[in-house]
Amino acid sequence: MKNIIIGFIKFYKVLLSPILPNSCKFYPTCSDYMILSIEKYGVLKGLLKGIWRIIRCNPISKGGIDYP
Amino acid sequence: MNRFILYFIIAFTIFFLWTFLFPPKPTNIKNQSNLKIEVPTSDSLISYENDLFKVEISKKGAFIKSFYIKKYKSELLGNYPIFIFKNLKDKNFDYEILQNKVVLKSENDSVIYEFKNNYIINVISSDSEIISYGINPNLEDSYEKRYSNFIYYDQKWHKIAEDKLITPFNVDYANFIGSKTHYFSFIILNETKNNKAFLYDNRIIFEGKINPNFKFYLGPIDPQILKSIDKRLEPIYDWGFFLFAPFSQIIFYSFRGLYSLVHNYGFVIILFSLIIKIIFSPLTYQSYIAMRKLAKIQPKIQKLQVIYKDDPEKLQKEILRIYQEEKVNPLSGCLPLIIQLPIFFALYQVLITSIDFKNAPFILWIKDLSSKDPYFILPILMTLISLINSIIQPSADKNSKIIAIIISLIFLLIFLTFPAGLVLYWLSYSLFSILEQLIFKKFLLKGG
Repeated sequence: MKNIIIGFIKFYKVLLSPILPNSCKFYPTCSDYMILSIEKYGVLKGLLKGIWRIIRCNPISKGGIDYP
Repeated sequence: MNRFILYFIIAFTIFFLWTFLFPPKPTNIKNQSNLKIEVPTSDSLISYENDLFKVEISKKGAFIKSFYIKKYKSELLGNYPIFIFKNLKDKNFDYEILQNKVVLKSENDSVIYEFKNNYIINVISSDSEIISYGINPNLEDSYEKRYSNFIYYDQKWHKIAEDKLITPFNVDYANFIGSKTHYFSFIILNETKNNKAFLYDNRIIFEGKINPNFKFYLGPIDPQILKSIDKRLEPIYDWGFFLFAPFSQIIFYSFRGLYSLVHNYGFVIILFSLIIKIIFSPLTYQSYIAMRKLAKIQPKIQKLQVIYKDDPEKLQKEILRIYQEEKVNPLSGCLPLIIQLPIFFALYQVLITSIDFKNAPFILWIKDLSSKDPYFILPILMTLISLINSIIQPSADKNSKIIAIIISLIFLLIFLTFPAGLVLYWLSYSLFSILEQLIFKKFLLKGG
């Protein structure tokens, strides 16, 4: 399960990310954060943390360096 | 690099398989029951019409022979009546039309059809045994053909598996029974008893006893109409994957609202993309303000770009560190991008499911927004824009530019088969984004 979801995110990174504008305000980027966070906290908590990170990654936020 | 190629091949295969598998195969029911069914013929017909439909009733047998919906120019029955009364089929009836009723009489027997203004038909009959042939399974052609039978029990709609129907199958436990195609549905809204369901000539036949005073629905699968009749009918309309269903609902109802203003679904889609763009523009505005501040720290960044020329990850990290120190960040963030995903999926769902888009034209060559662009002009325009975007993308290096170009071309292949309405949305959204950029640049950056 864990590997499937991480696979999907990597899949997104390879296929979609290159044609979308470079927009993430954080380091690591939201997709990398999602992968790290799933590896660290497991699927459920990791996914939720990753989604929360995407929500925080909006034009009003300051961005910066933020590890899970 | 090997890993990358592997991912690439997997991505390619999955996407192609998906597009090939996507059009659901037309239902071709091979196994038929051995039962013989008599289909009454009729030579003398009574016509009745109102604002919604035109109906023809046979004088012999008092059954509904044809049902034509004016708005969608669709005849819902084929060679079969919608249902017949088992014990009246050889009797000849006299008739009388009273406002919204057709009254048929023959000696001791009578049938009264009362036509409501919402595709509901009330029936009062002296015979309580009916054989229902349902809706014409060949009503729609190509990929839209999704004929199925369904019954309602335990507060839910269920589909009866076709192999179960080869031998007559009892469905007395059902509250409602019916059949549907992609866009239209027939539902008997009363309980039937001692009934059996089986397949005959690709149709699902229901035979059984019913209250002599019953009603049925025969019309489009329109969630607004179905909901207004009975809340339990609404789930016949498919809102799609549950996470995206709320987005589908917002899109469906806001499209209906916008349609009453502009009367063309192509312009509705353009207007909708403009509204989405305007909703997000205060957010984009923020990042343009930040871009103005960015000019001041540009020399520092250029220095970093020289130092970490060969390590893009490290470079990004260092640039972000400077942004944090200077409290600026010109990037708009991932949220505005990600939010497009559910909108995109929900729009796709609405375009292929909603009857509003059946043969809905835009302008010029686009005659149907729910099917693909016949000359592929929209997807090609779409790809040109994304190609230009990826080429002028300032930060990207040569390698990632080539990847972006390849992926844009793959997306062209995928977009070719997509409903024209979906490509229209994406295209107008991209054009509005470019326009927004020009406006912000002109009025913000020059002024500062």
